[in-house]
Amino acid sequence: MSERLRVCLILEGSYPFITGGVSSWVHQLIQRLPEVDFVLYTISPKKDQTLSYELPENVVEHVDLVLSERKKSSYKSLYRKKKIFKEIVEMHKLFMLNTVPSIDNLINMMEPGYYLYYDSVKQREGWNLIVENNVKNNPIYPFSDYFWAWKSTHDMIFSVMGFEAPDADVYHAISTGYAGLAGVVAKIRKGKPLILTEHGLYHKEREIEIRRTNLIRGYQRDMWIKIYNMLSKLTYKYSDLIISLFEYNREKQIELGAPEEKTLVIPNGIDIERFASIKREKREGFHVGLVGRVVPIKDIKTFISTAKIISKEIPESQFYCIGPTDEDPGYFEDCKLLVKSFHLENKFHFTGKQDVRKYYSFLDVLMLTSIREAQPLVLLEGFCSGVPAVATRVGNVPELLDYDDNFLAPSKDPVKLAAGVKYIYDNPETMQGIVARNREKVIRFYDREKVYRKYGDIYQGVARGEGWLE
Amino acid sequence: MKEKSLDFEYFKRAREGFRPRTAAAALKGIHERKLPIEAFVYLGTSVKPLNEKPYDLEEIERVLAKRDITVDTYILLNRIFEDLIKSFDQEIALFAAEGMNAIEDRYNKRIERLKDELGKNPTNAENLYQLALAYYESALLNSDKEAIESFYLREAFSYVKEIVRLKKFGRRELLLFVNILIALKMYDQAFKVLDSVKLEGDPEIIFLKAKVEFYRKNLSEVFQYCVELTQYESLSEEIRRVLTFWVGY
Repeated sequence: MSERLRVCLILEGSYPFITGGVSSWVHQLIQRLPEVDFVLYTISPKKDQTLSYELPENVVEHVDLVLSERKKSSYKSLYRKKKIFKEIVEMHKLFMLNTVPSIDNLINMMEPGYYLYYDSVKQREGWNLIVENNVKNNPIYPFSDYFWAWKSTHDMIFSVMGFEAPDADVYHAISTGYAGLAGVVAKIRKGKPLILTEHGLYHKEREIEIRRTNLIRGYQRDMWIKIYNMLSKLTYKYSDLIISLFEYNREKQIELGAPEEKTLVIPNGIDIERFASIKREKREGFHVGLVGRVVPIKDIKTFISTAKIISKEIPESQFYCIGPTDEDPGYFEDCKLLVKSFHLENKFHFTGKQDVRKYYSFLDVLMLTSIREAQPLVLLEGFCSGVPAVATRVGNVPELLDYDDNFLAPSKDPVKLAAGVKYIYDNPETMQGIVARNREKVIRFYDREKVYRKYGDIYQGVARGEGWLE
Repeated sequence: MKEKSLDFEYFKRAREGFRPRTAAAALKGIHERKLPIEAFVYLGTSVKPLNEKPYDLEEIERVLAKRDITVDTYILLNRIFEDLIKSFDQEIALFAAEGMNAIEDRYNKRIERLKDELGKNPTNAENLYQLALAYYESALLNSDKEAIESFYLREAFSYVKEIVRLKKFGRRELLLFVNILIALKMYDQAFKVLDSVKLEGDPEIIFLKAKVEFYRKNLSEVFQYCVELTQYESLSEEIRRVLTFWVGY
């Protein structure tokens, strides 16, 4: 081990190319641990993507695996090819029995730079496997359909398996999926520990995307879902430490096969000073805000419907949707139409991207209507600023709201959400105590500095083979 | 020759093989000689109501994927989703939320498209009717959310009024108008509208009169209308159901 610890962050569809919650978390992790050298191992759909972040000085190397670039490679030794495919056939048998296979032998047989696709279609054993699986899964549609579905699902796996990971003392995958697989391959080839941090649950998020699209149906959909599940299971099997942001996700990881003793919850934190220093001022009227992008997953339409109900019960109420509106222009148009339809033009305001602190200073209620969330930082920010919240029962929200039914609602339930807002409006004295408790909780458990420091300790411990201290 | 009876051994053998999920897929498999006829018989005759618990999520998804769904099916799906969305399993709740989003999006798009068309030709009575219908159906889908339901009903009401203004008011417009008034709890107005039309002998109109009288709590009138309805032969399923209750039809 070199003097400075070298940690390889394995990233897919996020930092440093795309902005967002995970990317921002990675950027801050790197900045907060200047004593660690970071290597970025990114998995990208195309090459030469523009960086969305200025890389901190302690990023010492960046390798980019471009999935669309493949080298034509094949082994000359028939014996070697047969050995590889014997292993693959055995692996598939275990997949069928829903068992997570060990892939050490397979990876060790394949040198970096070897791209399995050509031997899969040219080697008799590989081709037979494709044909047999077609007969089993899809005998009633053309073989060509099955073949292209197989190719598109397996191509990226072959690319990741054939790529040489950069050297590091610790590998840290920021999701399962292809990043997780890259971590597993790196661990096997380099013999170094692998840490996994899941902000959401990759296989579940992909499953939702697949179910939403009309392009992938029937057995093809099942094939994609099975593969994403298997990639998660494989990553769980090989990771030395599996970190989730909150308890519910940890339980889901265990359900999918993550060994319980390797799992750990480390929540995301916020900049306490930035939000605790906000000076609250009571403004005339009653102000309800939602901080988030105007996209379907945030279910802004339910916020608008809730506003419609509240405005009837609390005539002086005003509503603010605070966040960028340009990510899904069609959805934004729908939302504006709904506001107009509900005759809320004078009450409902789309502010665009703003300094949220300005709003936290006067909001009476922070609302979250998302149909999916992991651990929403906006609630922590609101709590730290002294704003109570009403939210849908998603991700870590119930835990953050102390499972208090007064402030929780099922997704897409504007009536229950409105009742939550009304409760806050009607009970100012009770709310004082709750607001103080929420603030205390955030300061104590969700301090960003402490959270990143914990990662620093984990890197050191895992690299030394000592595990981690809870 | 003795006819061969169905052999359901196929289910025992087929654990590892191809298992169709729909009757259509099974039929295709039989044509391709990949499956025995039992596969189709099983799927083609297997009836499980969509709202029977435990819910069959795959089947719900398949029904939702269809494009030509009636409002009754949407209401049924919405009820199932409203139940599922309360699930403490967040994945199931999310599945339900996505399903409700899909229904909502379809109605929004339908309304948007009709409004666009109406923008080009504001006196098109067919578009006005379709818009009123879309808003009325949206109200039915949101019947447990009072403010939203009433907003949709008022929108529907405004489009029907426009049809009245244009004097293009036919039977189907009348039926929709009365249903909107009933939903808005404007029972006296609904009865006045029904009383003013010359559509005597139309069982649908008589049924609506009975419905309005029921809401006005004139139960003896409801009974009278029901008796009158028993004289008609071709009645809808809904009317027959009501008659069974009121007059043992």
